[in-house]
This record gives sequence, structure tokens and C-alpha cells, in this order.
Amino acid sequence: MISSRVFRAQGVVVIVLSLIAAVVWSAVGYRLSHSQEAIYYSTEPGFLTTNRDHLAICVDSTVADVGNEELREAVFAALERVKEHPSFIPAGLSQGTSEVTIGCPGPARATQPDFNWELGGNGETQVPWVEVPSEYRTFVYVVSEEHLWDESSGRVAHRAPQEYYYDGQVGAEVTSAVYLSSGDVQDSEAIVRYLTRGFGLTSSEAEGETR
Amino acid sequence: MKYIASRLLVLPQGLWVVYAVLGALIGVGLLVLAMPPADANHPYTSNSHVGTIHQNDANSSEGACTDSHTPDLSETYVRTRINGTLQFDDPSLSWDDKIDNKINIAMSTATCAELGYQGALGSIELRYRVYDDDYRLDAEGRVCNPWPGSEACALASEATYLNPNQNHYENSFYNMYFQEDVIYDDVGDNTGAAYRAHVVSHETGHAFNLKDPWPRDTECGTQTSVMHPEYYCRNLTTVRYPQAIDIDTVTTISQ
Repeated sequence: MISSRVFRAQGVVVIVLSLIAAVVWSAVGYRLSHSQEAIYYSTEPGFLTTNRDHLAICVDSTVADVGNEELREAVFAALERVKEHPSFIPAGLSQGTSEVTIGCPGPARATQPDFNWELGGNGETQVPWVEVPSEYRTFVYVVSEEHLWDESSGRVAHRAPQEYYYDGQVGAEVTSAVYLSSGDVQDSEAIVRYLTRGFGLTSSEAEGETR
Repeated sequence: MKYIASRLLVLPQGLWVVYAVLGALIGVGLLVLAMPPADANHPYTSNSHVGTIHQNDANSSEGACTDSHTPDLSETYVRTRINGTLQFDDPSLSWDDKIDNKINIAMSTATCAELGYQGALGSIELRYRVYDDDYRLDAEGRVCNPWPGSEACALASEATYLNPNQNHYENSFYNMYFQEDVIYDDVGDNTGAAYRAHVVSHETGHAFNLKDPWPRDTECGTQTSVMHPEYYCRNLTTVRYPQAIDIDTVTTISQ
């Protein structure tokens, strides 16, 4: 009689421990799944968001005289030279395999009617907030010369924010756009210079106010 | 009962294994839960600040400018109020001349727009822009989306890796946006000089790497901070100027 009660009590202990373990590991699973979903602003490495693990660039030509494959090849060649920049590796941009892809998941904002270079390219009516940052650190567009003209500074501009993201603590530009003219595509030095800026390896102050 | 309790410890060999496995599962699970999340964004760990906070030489002041994009407030009105909070209303409490003089705000007499036209905006780290409430920061949350209806926000722009100076990323500038009501000398809820001082000091704190508490309420701590006002932290009070914890944190970051 007593041994059956002991047996039942031991069974109860096993059941209770099993339930506790199930609750604890359910909590662990919930936390892991949520931490995987969360995306944070991060500069370590310099892809700027935690949903990026390598340097990805997208390219898009909006002009007829530059094809996307031609643009992709020119940007890829320039990227190889940007990798020689002394800050490229310290900034963490060498992690993973870098890639250049045709087609960007967003508009060439500099071609939009309300675009405003003076506000850091924020535009008169909208900051380009996104709920999920794209996989691309930098978008490269070819646009007509008129769209490169910064009326507010009276000079040509080449860089603008492409995506802003808020992670609950910080609201930040997480994706940059580089704008090229058709002529720039033929000028490898120009692409290297603007890509370097588009990866955050040089600043606006370092280059004067050329955007 | 005492007998049963004692017999629970006198187990068949197989049951010991079950107890041990279950105990280990519980223990390991609790350990995992006790650890900070692998990708948690601990306050102040990610570099998001203007680069000038590392330097206290005369050439590295924080350049500032203002812009009024509302017909209701003149450029002078906006500049005077914002600069008052930053430098003059209460110099002992404001951000200016703090952190071993590494924060040394220099407000331009030209507007941000004028500086842009002059090609001089590149050296301005703090850009304060005030908008008509109905136009820029309305409930549809355009500029400060994803904070619909919010009164102000700070946007870290142009992350730049500075090597060999600092070997980390910094932001070339911050655009800070304000509803005109926040800047206007009014009285009542969320208006007036005291609230203006808070909002300007808070948004400026973002430019110095200070962040909003997230999740709200649970990451507020117990110390009063200009970054932890009542609208984020119900257990704390809204203050006008940076507090000791804010100054100390920026001091650490500025090393």
C-alpha cells in the first residue's frame, strides 16, 4: 500500500518536473524566436543592421544609354578597388562574400518630384522609413544629369539616404544610395569615389559639401 | 508522509536518471533565460553619435543650425529658442561646455538652408528643423514615422567609419525635427519653455549616442535621465536638461 503511494508520489514528481521543464523550454523557444525576428541598428560590422551578414549592393539604371549588366560589371570592378581602402576591413565590410545584384527594391528617390538634397536627401514630404531594412547596404542608380543637380547647394550631388529604420532606440539611415550619371559609369575613378562614400568610408565633411 | 518523502529519494536506478535529465533540462533552460539575449541592443553599445564628442580642441565644436519650415515661427524665433536651451537659458545644466569641453555647441547665425547653399552644411553636425504641426509631423507620421503623431525625432545620418582617428562608425550629422508647438512660447500641456528644453535636450542627447529606453518602462532603471521622460518611463519624471547619468554616459563614450 505504502509502496504504491510512494510509486504514485514519484510519478507525480516526474510529472511536475516535466511540466516545469516544458514551461522553461517554451520560454526559451519564445525568446529565441523573438530575438531572431528583432532587427537592430548596428555598426559592428558596418552593414548597419543585424539582418545583413555580407556586403550586398544593388544596381539599377534609369537611363536608356546604360544597361544594367554594364552597370553591374562597372560597380563590381570598382568594388574590388574599394576593398583596398584602409578602412574597408576594419569597418567589417569584408565579412562574407560581397555581391552586386541587378534590381533595387526601392525607387530612385532623387528622380522623385518632392526629393530635396538639402535635407540630407530626406525629401520635403517623406523620410524613407522602412519596417524591414533591405539586404542591400548600398543602392546604386544611374540617373540623368538633371537629377544629380542639388539646387540648394548649386552643385552636383551623388549620395543620399535610401532607407531609415527605427529599432526602438535609434532612428538611423541604414541604407545609402549612390547616384551616378551615364558619364560616371565610364569613369572607374568616379565610381570608386562615390562607392567609398556610399559605404561610409568617407564623410561629407571630408569631401566638402559634395553629397 | 515522512516515510513517503524519504522514499522519494530512494529511487530505482532508472528513476534517478529521469530526475537528473529533467533537473538538467530545467537548470540549462533557466541559465539560457538568465543570459542576456545574444542580439540585444544594450544601451550605448552601437556607435551612433556625432564624431566631435571625442575632441575638445577649438576646431571641433558641434556645429549647429536651425531652419523654420513654418510660417508661424520666424527663423530668428526658432534659432533663439533652440539655442537658448542648448547654451544660454541655464548654462550650468545644458549640454553645452560639458564632457571636458568635448561638447561645445556653436550655433550658426545662418540657417541650415543658407549654409547648404553656401556649401558649408557639411561641417554642421546638429541640424534642428521646425515644422508646421499639420504639415510635417502629423498623425500620419510622415517625417517622424514610425512615431505617428510624435512631436519630435532625431535621425542619425551618414554613418561613417573613421579610421585611424576612432576606428569606429560615427554619424556625420543628425537631423532633428520638431513640431512648432514644442518650440513656441505657449503654456499648457506639452508646451512652454520647460517642455521645449526637455525635448530639445532629449533629441540632442540622441546625437551624443543616448538612446530611448526599449522596451518602454522595463529598461528605464531608477535614475532620472533626460532620455527617460514620463512618456517612456512611468516611474520617472520628465526633466529639462541632461542629468548626471546622461553626462557620465557620454563622458564614457567620448573617451
